[in-house]
Amino acid sequence: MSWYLQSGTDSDVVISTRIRFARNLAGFRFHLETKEEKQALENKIKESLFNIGYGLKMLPLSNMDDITKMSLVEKNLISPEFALKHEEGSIIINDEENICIMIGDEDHLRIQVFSSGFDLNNTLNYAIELDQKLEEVLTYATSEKYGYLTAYPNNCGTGLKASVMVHLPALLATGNIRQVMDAMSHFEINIRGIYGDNSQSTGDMFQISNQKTLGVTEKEIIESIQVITEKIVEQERKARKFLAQNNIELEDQIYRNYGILTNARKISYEETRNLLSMIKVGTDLGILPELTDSKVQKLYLYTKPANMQKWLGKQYDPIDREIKRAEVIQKIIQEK
Amino acid sequence: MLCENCQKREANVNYLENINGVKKEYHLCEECSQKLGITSQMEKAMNFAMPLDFPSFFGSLLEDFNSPAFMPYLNEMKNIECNSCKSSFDDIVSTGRFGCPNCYETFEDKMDPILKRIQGANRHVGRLGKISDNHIKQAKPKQKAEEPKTEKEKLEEQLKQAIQEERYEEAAKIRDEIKKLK
Repeated sequence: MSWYLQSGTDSDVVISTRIRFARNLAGFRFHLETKEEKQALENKIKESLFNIGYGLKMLPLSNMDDITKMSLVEKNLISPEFALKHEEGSIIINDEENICIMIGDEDHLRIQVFSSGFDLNNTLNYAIELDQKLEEVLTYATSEKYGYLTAYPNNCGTGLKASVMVHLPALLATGNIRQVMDAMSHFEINIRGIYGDNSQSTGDMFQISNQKTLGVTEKEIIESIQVITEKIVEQERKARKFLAQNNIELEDQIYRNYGILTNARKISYEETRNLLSMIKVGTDLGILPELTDSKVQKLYLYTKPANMQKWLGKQYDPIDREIKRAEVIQKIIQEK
Repeated sequence: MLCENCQKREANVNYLENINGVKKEYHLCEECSQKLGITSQMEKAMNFAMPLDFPSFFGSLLEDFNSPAFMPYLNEMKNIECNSCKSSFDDIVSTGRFGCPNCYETFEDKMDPILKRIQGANRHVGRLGKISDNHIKQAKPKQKAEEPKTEKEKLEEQLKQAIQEERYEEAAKIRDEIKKLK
C-alpha cells in the first residue's frame, strides 16, 4: 500500500513527512536552455538508474496527460510549478511512490523521500542512503565551502528541505493557532497553510519546514523540526481535549459533517475537504466508529479532482465531477 | 503655475534634476513630462509590479551590494564573468540565479556577505560526498597557477599581518628583507 494511504506515528496530527535534497550535476549549467543539454542530462541520469536499485523508473512529463500530472501534484509528489511549467522535465519514481525525484526543475535533481506520519529520522536516513547511491554513479556539483551547489543560493549547503504536514483543526477552532504561529516565528522555520488562499487555509492542513540549508547540519535541521513539531502536536492534542470536554457539541459537529458527506448527491472538492477535517478528528478521537483511519485517508485522496478521475478511469466536466464525487464518497464509506 | 516647457497646461509634475551637484527644479505638465521621458511618481507607482518571488528579492539584495557606496572595492568585479558559463554578475542579479556551479567560486567575494544574510552562514557544515573528481576542485589549482605569488608579495603579506598583530619586531625584520629584495 502506498505511504499516503497509510497511518504512521502520531498520524492523528502529523499526516506525512518529506525529505528533499537539491542536487546538481557537475559540468552542466543550472538552467539548461537547449534540448540537447536537457537530453544529455537526462541520459546521464537514466544510465545510472539501473545501478542503484529501488525499482525506480524514469517517466518524462511530456508523455503524461494533465490529469496524471495533477494527480501527482495532489499527492504532493511534485510541485505544481514543475508539473505545469516544465514540459521537458522528467520524474523518477518507484511503485510505492515513496521516492520521487524531479529532474529538470530549478535544480537538476530534487530527490524526495516520503513517509506517512511523523518519521523524520528514518526518512532522512533513507534519503541519505539513496543520495549516496546516486552519488556513486553521478558527479554532483559541490564545493567544500558551500556544500552542494544549487541554482538559487537559498538551497545550497545541505540542499535539505525537511517538512511535515500537520492537521490542526482544534488549534484553529479554539483560536490558538495565532499564538502557535507567533511562537514559531522565533525559530528559523516556515509554516504555511497547505491549501493556502491568501487569507485562510481550508482543510486545516499546514506544512512546517526549515528555512536555512547552509551552516547547519542535516541532523540539526531535522532536530529543530522534530522539536517544534512535537510541541505543536502536544498543543493540538490539548486543544482537542478541550473541545472534547464539551462532548455533545463536538460529537454533534462531527456527525453533522458525516451526515452531509454520506448523503450529499453532489459535492465540491472544497466542501469535502472542509467536512473531512472534522471527520478525521472524529476517527482520531474514537468518536466516529463508522469510519476507519484508512477510509478517511482514502476519502481524502480519491475526492481530489485529478485522483478521483484517475480512480474512475474517466474524465468528467466540473458539474458531473461533483455528482461523481458524492458517489465515490458513498462507495468508499460502504466498502467492507 | 503653468508648465515651463509648453507654457500652456497646468504644471503638476515637479522634476528635480541634480547634475554634478548643480540642482535645478522644473515644473512640467503631465504631457510634457512624458515627452521628455520624465514619468510622474504616480505613474511609476502604477507600473510598479510588486516583486514577490525569491529571484527578485535576491536580485535586489545583490544590487545593494553592487552599489559603489555600499562596498566600493566590489566594483572592481564588475567585469568579471564566470569562465565556465560566461555569466556576468549582472546576469545573476537580473535572474537571481547562478548560471552554473562554477559561479559560486567566481563570485565568492560577493556571495559571502549575501549568503550570510540569506542563510545566516556562508560555510557548509553538513555531510558532503565525494568531491575529489569535481570540476570545481580542479579549477582551484589552475587559478592559483595563473597568478603565482612572488617572494616579495608573500613578504608584504606577512608584513601586513605582523603589523596587524602588533608584532613590530618581526615586522621590522620582514621590512628589511623586503628592502634586500629591492
